[in-house]
Amino acid sequence: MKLGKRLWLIILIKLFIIFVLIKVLFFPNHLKTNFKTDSERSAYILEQLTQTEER
Amino acid sequence: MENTDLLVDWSRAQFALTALYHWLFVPLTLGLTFIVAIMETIYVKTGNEWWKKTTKFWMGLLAINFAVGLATGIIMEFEFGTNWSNYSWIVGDIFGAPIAIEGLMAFFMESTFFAIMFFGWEKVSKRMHLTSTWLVALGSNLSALWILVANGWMQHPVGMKFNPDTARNEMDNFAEVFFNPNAVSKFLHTISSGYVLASLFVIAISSWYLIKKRDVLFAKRSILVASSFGLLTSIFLLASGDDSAFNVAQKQPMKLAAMEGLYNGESRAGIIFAGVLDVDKDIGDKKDPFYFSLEIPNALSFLGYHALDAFVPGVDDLVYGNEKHHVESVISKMEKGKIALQALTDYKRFKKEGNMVEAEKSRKLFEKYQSVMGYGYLEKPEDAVPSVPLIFYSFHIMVASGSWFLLLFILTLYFSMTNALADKKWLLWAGLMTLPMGYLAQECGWIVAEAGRQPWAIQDILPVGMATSNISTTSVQITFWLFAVLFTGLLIAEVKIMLTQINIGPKGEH
Repeated sequence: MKLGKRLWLIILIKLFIIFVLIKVLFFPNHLKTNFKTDSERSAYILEQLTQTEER
Repeated sequence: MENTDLLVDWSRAQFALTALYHWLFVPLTLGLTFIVAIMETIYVKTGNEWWKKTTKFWMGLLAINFAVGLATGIIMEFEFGTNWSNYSWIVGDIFGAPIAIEGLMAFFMESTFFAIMFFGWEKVSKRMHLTSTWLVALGSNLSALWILVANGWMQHPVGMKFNPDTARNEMDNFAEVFFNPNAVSKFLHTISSGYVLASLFVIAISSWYLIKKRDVLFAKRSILVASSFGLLTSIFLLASGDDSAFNVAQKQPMKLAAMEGLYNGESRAGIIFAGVLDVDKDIGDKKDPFYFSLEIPNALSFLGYHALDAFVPGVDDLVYGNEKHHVESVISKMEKGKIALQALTDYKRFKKEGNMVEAEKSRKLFEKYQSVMGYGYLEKPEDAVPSVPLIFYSFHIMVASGSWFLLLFILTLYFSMTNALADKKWLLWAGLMTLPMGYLAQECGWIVAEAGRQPWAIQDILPVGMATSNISTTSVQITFWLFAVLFTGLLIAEVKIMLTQINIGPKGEH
């Protein structure tokens, strides 16, 4: 089961990189981080959708 | 505006990079699980230990692909939250529900039974093991089903209503989302392409063994199974491709026009068998789009509308309109889209002022034109046209490759059945060299589907420029290169481990 052990090692290293390094350090959820409530998020998105000239 | 364009371009590039790399791993898993399940079924039916060892060899390669490719798709979900937060919010539960079902049902089912399949040979009964192998095949394909239901909705949004208070699309008909013709044809076409790739994979490796004159019986029998499976699924791939093109013609005619480099619409339109596009061709300039082309007459009319004399609108017809054939112009849709956006703005304002009568009027006006609201964001009509050369060449590479695969399966099956395959060196080399073409065709298929949908994130409703988050372009650039390194590393690891296992060969098992 040398192959099995090697594959487990790849899986663990990869999951660490994806879920710990990439997700935490580089990929915060933009709307969850910047707004507290869903109504704030809705208002922001509506503003984005209707103020096209600023984009 | 330039910075926004740069941000959109890098966000798109990053998503494309992630999706294309992810798709190097997925189709092989989709198909190889079935091939392995078929081999194990032969083992259980015949009780012949030789088939058990054959199954275990291919299962080892499947495990490598599964382990290395596992969770690479999760990164796309991170990107939805970070780079495409407007999109994520607007698609709401329509996108969220299938993705959640995929994770909770299909992926966990696949992973659980994968553990039994790979590690449980001596721990569970023969029949339990075989059931687990089939459930892995079923689970991986169910995963694809839910992802493609979500993707099909982006190509043809149905079964929802946009709520102007929450700025979200709310699902009001699950069956309509699930049975969306675009999703159904996309699912069938995608999984069958995975079966074809897996068949090519088995044929390529087995051909190498035959060229090297080693593990001859193993290679011959593997090719027999793979070419039978490949031939059947290639026919299915053709049929689902026809259905897919039919749906594209109805719902995304611009994509179809780009696929064929068709600028001026025609009745009895032909399919380009081979052609080179004029690089100086512009939309509306009436120049011949090709330096040279060979055409199959009437075929595009039949493919798109199942009628030999049907009119197929070209890029120019769709952009500028064609009254004779009732083709609405992008210009007209842009006007309607702007009315929808203004009505949405007014609804928001009247509601804030407490003027509910005017708010209701605005809401009704918005609902009248919301199906084309995305056109209101376009700056000029030509912005509704995707990159024609990219779509045209990708489509034709995919179709030409698919046709060759069908021929290859016929030849390998015929010579396998007549026991003459080992002497046909040219065919063995062709079998080996075709594998990269299989991967290329897979990637081209996705380019046609996704780049052909541009400029839309959600067809006609949300252009990609409005779907992005307002984040720093630099952070997207950094993560783009981070992913490029990570995925390239994973790909190198996969190829290296696989080559080692292939070199050891089935001897370890035989």
